[in-house]
Amino acid sequence: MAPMNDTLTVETEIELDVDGDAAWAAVATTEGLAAWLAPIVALPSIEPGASGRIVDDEGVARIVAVRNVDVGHSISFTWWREDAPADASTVTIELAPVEAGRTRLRVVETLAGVRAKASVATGASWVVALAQLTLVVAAVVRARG
Amino acid sequence: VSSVDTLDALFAAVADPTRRSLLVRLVRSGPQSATRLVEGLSVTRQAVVKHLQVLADAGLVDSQRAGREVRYAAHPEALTAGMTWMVETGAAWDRRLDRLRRHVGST
Repeated sequence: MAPMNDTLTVETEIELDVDGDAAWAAVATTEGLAAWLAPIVALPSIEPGASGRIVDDEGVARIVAVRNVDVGHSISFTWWREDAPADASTVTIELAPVEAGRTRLRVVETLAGVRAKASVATGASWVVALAQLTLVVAAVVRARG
Repeated sequence: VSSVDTLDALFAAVADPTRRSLLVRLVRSGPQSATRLVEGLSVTRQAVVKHLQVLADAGLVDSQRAGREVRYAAHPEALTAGMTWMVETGAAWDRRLDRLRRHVGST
């Protein structure tokens, strides 16, 4: 059984061919987020304390609460699926200049208090999962809580 | 062995592309010997056996002697709930960041 304080972290990063201002506009405005994070971003603003609702490309609705904003550098928010409020995770998006016109974007999503429940995947679904994993694990780091 | 240790072993096991390839082949083909598994890979049989051992330590593979050869079989049920969350979450960020890359590239 996993202890309740287990923490799972997914970490990934990409480099964008834009300067920091353009990258910041994409991650710290509702219009920018709606272009890539999720088609529906119903947030009054991107500032600490703001909260709203996001519906992603698969129709999954999440409640989101902005936690921190370091202008030009990072934002963090907590979100949870409307149908699973106990599984709130925290997302931090950080920007860092690489060179002129190029910006590194790093995403860390952390799920704390992992529930200790057994899960047995079927062979068929596991093959699908492993195909996804191949795309993901190079950028995934697991951290303990 | 705690589930935390199990998850660590699972991640260590699937973090290597050769091991992921071996796992996929075992899942799709059923039990195989190391000699058959090395076919088409650019590593030695000895290296394949070593990778299979790492997979076995993570509970993803086991081995059985069949006559003169040892056959390895995949055990996909070793994936845990936490692993599933990470896979799904990672895949979701892959999709989002792909859209972000296209978005900023088009502005």
